[in-house]
Amino acid sequence: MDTQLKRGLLDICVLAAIKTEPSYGYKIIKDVKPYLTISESTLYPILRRLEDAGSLTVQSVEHNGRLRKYYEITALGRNKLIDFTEEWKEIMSIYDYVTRDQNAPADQNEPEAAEGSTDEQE
Amino acid sequence: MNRNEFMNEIRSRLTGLPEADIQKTLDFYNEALEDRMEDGLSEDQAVEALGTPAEIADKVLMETPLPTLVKAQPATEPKRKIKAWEIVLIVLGAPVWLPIAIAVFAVGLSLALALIAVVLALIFAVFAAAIGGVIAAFGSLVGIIMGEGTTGLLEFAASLLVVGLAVLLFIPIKSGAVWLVEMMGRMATKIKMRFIARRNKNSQMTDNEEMKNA
Repeated sequence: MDTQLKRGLLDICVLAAIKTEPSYGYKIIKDVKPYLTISESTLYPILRRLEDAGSLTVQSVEHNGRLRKYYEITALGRNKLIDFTEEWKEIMSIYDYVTRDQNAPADQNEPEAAEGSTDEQE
Repeated sequence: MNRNEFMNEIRSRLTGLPEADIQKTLDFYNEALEDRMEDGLSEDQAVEALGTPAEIADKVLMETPLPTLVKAQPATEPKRKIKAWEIVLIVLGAPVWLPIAIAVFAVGLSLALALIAVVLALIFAVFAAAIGGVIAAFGSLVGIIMGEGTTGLLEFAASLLVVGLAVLLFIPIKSGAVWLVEMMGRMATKIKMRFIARRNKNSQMTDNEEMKNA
């Protein structure tokens, strides 16, 4: 997948992973893995970026005699998820447009192109 | 590689960053190790699963703001001995290379600033034209009501024209501003990548020297 696109999607997936309840690093990785390749070294900068942006907050909770960091989504983070779903609708319409061209037989494309050129002449 | 070696190598690769940042990074990877070991992995397997310290450190460095990265420059600067004749050349050549270096830096900086200034000026001009045009339109309407028929109408048309132009120009100027911001971001990333590459090269060189000494 395009790296720029993946970068944006990873942020969204991490937010989605903590959307219902606060979660911790390893669990986020396990939850996101089926959808996108993610490792600790990619997750760590994302969590820091999201924390700095105010999309999530961090709490240390004791677990088995050690501290574990739990990440909780904020209202701002939820807004980002909503923005994403809105944006995705636009992307889906582009997807429909792109696949329509792909599936159309080659001879059907030509009259369209001819029409386009006559439009330009007018 | 065991856990301690792993942690120490990450730490040494992050040398120079604020201690709080380093500690936060180490805490995160410690937790990751603990969680994986709790899941049934051995210490070595857990370390293996996290990736190499080099890629972990590089990703942290890439996310570090450029000024912090510059400040964090080599705690491990290689000690290359400058030869006597090099010192003589540097000192004697100062009247030549110093002004040139300053000039090159100044030209680069002023070009960047000029570009930013042009875009900002255009943005302000467009906004000013839009606001001015709207005010002038109302003004000329008042003029028409007061009885300055032809002049008022001319003024009204002219002010509408200005508003229209402003709205039209807003589109290319906006994309110009977006382009500028993106360019600066890309420049910063490039500079960062060079800094990180240099850091890694330096620490490798010191590693090699240490091995030779051992």
